[in-house]
Amino acid sequence: MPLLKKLKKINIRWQMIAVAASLLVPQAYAHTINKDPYPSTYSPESSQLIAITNATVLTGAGEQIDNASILMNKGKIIGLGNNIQIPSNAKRIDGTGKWLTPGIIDAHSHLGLFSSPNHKSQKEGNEWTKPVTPEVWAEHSIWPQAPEFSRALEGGITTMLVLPGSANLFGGRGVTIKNVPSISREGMKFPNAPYSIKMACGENPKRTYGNKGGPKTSMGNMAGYRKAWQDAKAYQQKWQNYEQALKAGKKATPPARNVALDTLVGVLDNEILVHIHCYRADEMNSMINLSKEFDYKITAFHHAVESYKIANTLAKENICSAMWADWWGFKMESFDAIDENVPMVASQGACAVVHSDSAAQVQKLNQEAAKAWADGNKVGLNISKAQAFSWLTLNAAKILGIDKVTGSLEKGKNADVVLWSGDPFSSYSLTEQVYIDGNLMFDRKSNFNIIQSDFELGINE
Amino acid sequence: MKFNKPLLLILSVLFTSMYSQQSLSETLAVTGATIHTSSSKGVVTNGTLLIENGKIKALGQSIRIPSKAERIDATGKHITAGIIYPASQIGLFDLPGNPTADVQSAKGSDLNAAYRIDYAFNHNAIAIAENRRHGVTRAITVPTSSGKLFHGSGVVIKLSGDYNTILEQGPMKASLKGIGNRNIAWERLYRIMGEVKYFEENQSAVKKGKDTTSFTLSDRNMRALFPIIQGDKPLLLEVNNAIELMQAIKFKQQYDIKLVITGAAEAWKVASELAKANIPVLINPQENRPVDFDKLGARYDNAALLDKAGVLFAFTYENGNQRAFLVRQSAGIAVAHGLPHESALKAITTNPAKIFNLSKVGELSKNKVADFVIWDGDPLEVTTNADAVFIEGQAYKLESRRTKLRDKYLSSYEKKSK
Repeated sequence: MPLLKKLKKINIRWQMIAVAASLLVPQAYAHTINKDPYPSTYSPESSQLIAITNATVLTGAGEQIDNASILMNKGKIIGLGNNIQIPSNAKRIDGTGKWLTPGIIDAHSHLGLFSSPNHKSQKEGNEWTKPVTPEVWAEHSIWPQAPEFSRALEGGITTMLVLPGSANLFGGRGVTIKNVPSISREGMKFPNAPYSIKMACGENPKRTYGNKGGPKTSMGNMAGYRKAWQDAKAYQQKWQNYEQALKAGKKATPPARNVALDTLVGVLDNEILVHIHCYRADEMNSMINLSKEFDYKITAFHHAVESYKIANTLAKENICSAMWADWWGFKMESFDAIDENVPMVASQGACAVVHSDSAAQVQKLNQEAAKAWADGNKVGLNISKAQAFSWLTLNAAKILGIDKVTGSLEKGKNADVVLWSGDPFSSYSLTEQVYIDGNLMFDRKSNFNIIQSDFELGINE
Repeated sequence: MKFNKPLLLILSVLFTSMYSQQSLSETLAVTGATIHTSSSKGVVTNGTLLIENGKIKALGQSIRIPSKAERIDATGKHITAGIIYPASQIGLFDLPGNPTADVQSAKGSDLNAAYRIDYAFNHNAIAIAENRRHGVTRAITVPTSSGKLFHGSGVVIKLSGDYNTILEQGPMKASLKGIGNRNIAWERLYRIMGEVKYFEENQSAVKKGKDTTSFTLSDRNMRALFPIIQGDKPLLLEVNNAIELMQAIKFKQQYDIKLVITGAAEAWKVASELAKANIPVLINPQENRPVDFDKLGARYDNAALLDKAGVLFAFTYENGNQRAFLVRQSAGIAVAHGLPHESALKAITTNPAKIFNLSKVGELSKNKVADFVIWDGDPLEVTTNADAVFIEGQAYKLESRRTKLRDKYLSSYEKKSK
């Protein structure tokens, strides 16, 4: 191997190690608390050298490159552009007339939690036994055999944030997963992705607990969050006192472990990302003020149907909005949702993400972005397709905390790639191939889908 | 059964002039467009659509345009018939669960088949303007589940949003869900239909008390089913799996009724049988997941397979009220999964008109009522929007409460940036 190439390879490795290290949860209390007790066991098969040539590329980071080729090897993107050298030993796929994008990331999914078929034992999304349940983890409910995963893969979905539902003020931890076949839950977990917590504003907690001891009102919701953060602060203080005592060489007993508060302290320590189901502008503002009272960062508001009313604030606070294209009117707090929410938020320099929250729309999430894009341009917002596609990719990767390794087609990033039959903003385009870490997971032509739910085996014969 | 609405008639006379929208001259020529006729004429490129007194006077490439006609240049645009949504809740609620404004079901009352939705149908519903600006011009609005076998009668509406919105009584809605297991539900359906037939044939004897037969349903709910047993109105029955679709075919043959199936997730498995039995189906082309045990065979190409077998079908969407207009996106998705473009367009225009016997609308051809939409692109593309919507030749503003919210905040952005 020529020296330069070897150096480059080493460099890429170092970058990977650096990236992985930056994603690792700091081990502040490592001497007593294991912060990663259910680690990912995902490890991709080593992929071969593949080149997809002469396609229209949307990088997922806001650029379009026409007549470009991509080169992937050993799970990574190793080349992208108009003039890249394609080694003679590469497997070549002709992308002429086709489009290439990063794998789509659904930043709000319940796949594996509310699974088909309809059955009372399949309702795994909400631990609605009490309003504050930061101790529950979505990864302990996911059903890897859910029939929805293979369909999402056909829609080009390579990564998802699977969140608990919105019945609770604190619904529990979300989990970032790769859309890969696995018997175990841990086999789907995105390696080194940070944890998330799901919080919820508004009608859902009020409806769930209004007649079960509360909260019954929005002020009751706020009181519930404040009480929980107050408990978390006290718990955090106990641990800090304990550590200081140890540092000072004093004898000290560690505080009693509390797994619910571990999660909240993880937020206060900037280790766990905060995702808040919140519809209305006034409630989003209250949540921002709450985060300042207790000194933590909100990563994203989800659904956020009124983000267009406070787009400037969201830009200033650096909070993303994960939104639908056009859902509206299904309850009072969604009454002011408009078709142009996503492009209007983007137009003010705030971070916009298009999410599904749906087992139907996740399969055509490209079309959800396409609708929002078209509606924005119809009122003169003048957004390019390349910019709009980042709503599904790099921006989504950002709020999942995995943007350094996936979410755009860039040298050194994971080879999560979708080849489309045509423009992904067209109704008639379909995915032709989907790659995760450089491995072919779905191929329409040969009717190959690597995910086959055991549940569906033999039921339609 | 005649649709009795004297009060509405009086009100409509009083209010029609008040509510008329942007009036165009009586003769209108739309020129230069690609016209998807959904008729035997197929697609007419660079065509002219000539409208006179709310009806289509002529359509084609070389139409003589009267000098008095107002002209709209639609070069580069596409025209289709207005979208007809076949089983909506438009007009029954704007917010679910509001006791004043939510009139979607007879739940909790003694009504089932006799439930009718025209008394408090909301002509002002926000969903009417919202769907209209997205190209929906007519709908069949039906009640949701009463918790019993029969849910009540629907209405045929045009999306004018005035006091003439309701046009006539529509189909009777029924579902086998939630009334015991399916064996129990089918037995009940057979029993009631038998009783209605008997009652209808022996009315005078029953009335005079000479016939003391006792019936499952009350007198009023029985009478509401006369138009079904007489074959005047369709019965809209939700059935999904192949086995029960076969059962539905037998049921239709026994009572010789107009049966329309909704759901029909596994219709592709018995497509030729449905075609032979002349049973039309309403399907959601995006339903491709095994969401329940009677939908294990749901798949994206249901529509394409039904089309090949010659079944008459129309499209529904997962939401038949606020977002009913997204049925157009569903039609595009059906095309992506094998359905010809023309068939997909028919499934949201001509076919629902045929299924529910709306003879004056659903296609663009001479003498049809001028319900049509001018689109800024291919009508089944997800990025296409409506540029103009006409009902009975009258243009409606592309406005709704939601566009007003949009405009309010868009203009606040502009002020800030100045």
